[in-house]
Amino acid sequence: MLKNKLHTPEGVKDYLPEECSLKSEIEKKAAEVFCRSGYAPITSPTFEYNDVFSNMGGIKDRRTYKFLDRDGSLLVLRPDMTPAIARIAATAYSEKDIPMRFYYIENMFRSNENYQGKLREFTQAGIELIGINSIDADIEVLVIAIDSLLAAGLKEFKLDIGHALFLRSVIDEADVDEKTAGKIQQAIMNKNYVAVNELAEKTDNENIKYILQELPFLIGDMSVIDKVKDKVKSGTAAYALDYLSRVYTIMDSLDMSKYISFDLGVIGSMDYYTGLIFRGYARGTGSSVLDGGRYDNMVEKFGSPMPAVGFSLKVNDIMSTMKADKRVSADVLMVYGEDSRAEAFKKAEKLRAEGYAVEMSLIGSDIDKNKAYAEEKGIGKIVYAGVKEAE
Amino acid sequence: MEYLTFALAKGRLADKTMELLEKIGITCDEMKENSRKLIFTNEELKLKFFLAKASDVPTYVESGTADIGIVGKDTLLEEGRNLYEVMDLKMGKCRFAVAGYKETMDKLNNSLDLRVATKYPNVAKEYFYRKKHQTIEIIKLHGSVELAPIVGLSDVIVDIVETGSTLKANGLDVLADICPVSARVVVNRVSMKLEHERIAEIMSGLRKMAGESN
Repeated sequence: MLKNKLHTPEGVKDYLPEECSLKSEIEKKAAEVFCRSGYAPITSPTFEYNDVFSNMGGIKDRRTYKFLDRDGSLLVLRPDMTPAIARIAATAYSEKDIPMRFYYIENMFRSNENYQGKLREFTQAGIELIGINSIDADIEVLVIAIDSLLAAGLKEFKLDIGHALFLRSVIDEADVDEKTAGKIQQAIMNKNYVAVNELAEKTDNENIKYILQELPFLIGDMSVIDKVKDKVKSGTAAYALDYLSRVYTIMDSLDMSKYISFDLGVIGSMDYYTGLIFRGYARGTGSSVLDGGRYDNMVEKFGSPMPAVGFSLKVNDIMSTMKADKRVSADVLMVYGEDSRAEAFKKAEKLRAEGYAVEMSLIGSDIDKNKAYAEEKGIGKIVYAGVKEAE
Repeated sequence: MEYLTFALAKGRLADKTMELLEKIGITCDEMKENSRKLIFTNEELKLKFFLAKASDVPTYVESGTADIGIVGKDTLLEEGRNLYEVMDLKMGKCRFAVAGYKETMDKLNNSLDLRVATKYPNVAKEYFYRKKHQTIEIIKLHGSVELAPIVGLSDVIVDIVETGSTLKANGLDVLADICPVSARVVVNRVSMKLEHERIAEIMSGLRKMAGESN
């Protein structure tokens, strides 16, 4: 049967050299940024028990790939790195290791709808800062997020920041019945602001109604905060707004506020976020290129209460904003004949030690042939070992 | 300035939308000429427009190839894409309904082997499985759904109903309402952030117009 032999399933792919080197270049640049900020590499298994990811407020069960272990335990292909690192932090480390700084570059697996051009296996490069709940920790992670997007080669991007507590307390303040509150939250999550608009009519609090109805437009600079500051009464919402403006002020003092905008309607990609939430957007792709936030209640679920904050770069989405046009070719083509083989290999090793990529010519020592070959492959220089160049 | 691209659902809705946009100063003369062009541009305002099959509009907007889409809620419910639904244009009003012969009312409410023909399998599933907790058999059709109960392919249909006159002319009735439907403005997630000011301005203009016409 050739039917399923010659192509890959939908949502997984081969990376040919041009694309593959663009991908590893992005990963390398990101890893350098993480490393230089004091983060240590970590990996986790590609599959582990479903319990690690299930009911964590992360990727829904129906979107993961599960299979059974020999003893009948439910296994899952890793859909998200954060719970895996939370598990490691809670079990392999303790209070005295705080703060922990980890980075990873791993593939995730999520089941997506068919025919939407979405990958089911994709790469994330990210960091987790575990054990500290402070504005400094959040700022550190935001700065690294911006540095890594810049290092990856993105020029025009925005990091949207919001706070998980803001909408929660706004919905509380709306003082509507539980069912309506749930519906409002669901509608916001689905970005269905037509429904939010209708549901907002149910609250008697005019200020809250205004916030809910304006929500999709509460995006932008400090003026967004000013628009709603006087409209919230609850301490929590006011705290969230104050926190966001403090973050903005600090980022401004670091000359990085040009990358930041507020989005008060942001509900994180994951339910596990408890504080600052941020998402990166760039031109050239229809979805976010970076997702992150603070998740203070997750490590606890693995037995050791520790606050944490982190983000991941969506490597494939970053790639889709760029063109994979860099040709992958060697720097030097080494041409030799039978009697100069040893000399050629020795010369090649020497050049390699100096940092050149050297390809041995396997098409004989004919000079014209090799010249044509080097041109075709984009190899800039030809070295002839023991072969006389007839010019 | 980058182009802001609109994807419009082909047909009456697109015409009505362009009329509405014109009122807030967004025009595209190129579109009025009868041409075979697929994409229309307003160089002055840096806008692009294209017409697409309604069910494809959410796909264009989700991917970011269009920043803004105008499409019926029926399509959004069926496609279930990840995009911003920012405004109800209150145009193209109709509703989703279950329709069939009056005599099937009993079967509709009690049967576990109800056959439902529809162009909207996801909407039908959502209604019967999630709301009514009823197991059904869905038969996907691509047009003239009313035919299905008449020729005996299904017991009932799930479809959009505007006046109900097509149903009546064929002896069918609305047996249950599912939800109202109207035209919506949808926006791509990234565009909403990177082109926020321009989009917010258009939306506030549209909001005023939609408010006035009601």
